[in-house]
Amino acid sequence: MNTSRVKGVLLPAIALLAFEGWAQFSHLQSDALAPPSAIIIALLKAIGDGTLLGATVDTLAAAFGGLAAGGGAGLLVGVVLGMARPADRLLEVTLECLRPIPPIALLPIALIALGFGYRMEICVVAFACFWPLMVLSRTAVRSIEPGLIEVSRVLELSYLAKIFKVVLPASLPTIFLAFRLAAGVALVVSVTVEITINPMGLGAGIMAAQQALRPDLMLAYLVWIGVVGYALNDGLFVAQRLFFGPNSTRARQK
Amino acid sequence: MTYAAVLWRTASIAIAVAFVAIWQLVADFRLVSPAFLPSPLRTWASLVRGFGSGDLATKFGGTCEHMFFGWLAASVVGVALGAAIGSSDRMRTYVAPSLDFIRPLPVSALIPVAIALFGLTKGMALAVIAFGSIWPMLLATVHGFAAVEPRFVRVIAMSRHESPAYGSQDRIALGGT
Repeated sequence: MNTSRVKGVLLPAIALLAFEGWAQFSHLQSDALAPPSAIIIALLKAIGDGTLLGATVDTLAAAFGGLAAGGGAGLLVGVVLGMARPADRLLEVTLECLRPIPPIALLPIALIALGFGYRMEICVVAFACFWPLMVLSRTAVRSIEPGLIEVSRVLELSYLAKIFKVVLPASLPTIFLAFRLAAGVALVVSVTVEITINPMGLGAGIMAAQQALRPDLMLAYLVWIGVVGYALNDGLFVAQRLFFGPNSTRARQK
Repeated sequence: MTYAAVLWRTASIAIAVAFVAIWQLVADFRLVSPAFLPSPLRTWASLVRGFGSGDLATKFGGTCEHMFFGWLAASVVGVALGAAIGSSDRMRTYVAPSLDFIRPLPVSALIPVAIALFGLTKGMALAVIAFGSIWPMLLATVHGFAAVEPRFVRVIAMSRHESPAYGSQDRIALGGT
């Protein structure tokens, strides 16, 4: 286990060292590339003066705000549609017409309606996060063991009690999976919104570094965004195993 | 489709039409300023005008072209790289962890880097699109090659003993994938 981890790190380490050597040797002057040592220095400086962490907080706040709003709405609609088959069939055309819209295509509309800032970004992220939660929770609710639903009928549970005592617990593993996927989407969309127009967060930071011709800072931002993405993905993955057991992640798309 | 399915579908379309009608009413009664929410009729007119003048069609063509070539590049590179990684244990131990680290990187974060490298060119757009869409292809290929029945591989090894030029491992692996 330990040696395999070392082997995995070997390739990137060699690549970085080779690049560093080449950059030092050729006295690299570029608007796009910087030697790894300069990137590390830029990264440490950006962490030191607080700009990087501030930007991270902005981006994550927008991403999680959108995830909570859009994912929550998606969960609600998904559970309702999963339980009420007629409603699902009636809304099918409407939902399937809206679903393929790329969230980023909503940017201009969100911008005129809400202006720059958190609200606009959260709305776009929410639209993106709505779909995975809606689709997966609908599927999860629909594929609940019919016996469980019958038990709730025998116990004469009310509609809400049925949802909270039977439906939600039974479909929770899938819903958490949807949440994990949506969290990844949320981060991608919020960084994209920031790169495209919204002047805040990590996306705006990396764009500003590029326009200021600071490749070291730009790549430092890129590395940091990668670390944040990796940490988010891995953290939720570990949480999923912790909550639902090692089997819950076996069928993940990897 | 059965009769009932047609009925459900019709009702579903009717509901979608009803939503558009509500949108038209909201716009007609100016509940939201028309600057933010033009009526569906105006939106439709403008869509027709856009296609009529050829402007929208050109842009649509451009997007499709980007999509197609980006996808093509991602497929070619993804399958080639995936085959290389999937068919050798050594590649898997050395290269796969790096891929796992790069994968969660939001693609859009590469846009500034790509702009700095390639400028605002078609190549830049294609590079970003290809990077974003390579993952399903790459991972499925790695998985497919890694999951090839070991007996098939042994068959090749044996067939090579008898007629060295015959049979490539790739043919079997691609068939299995």
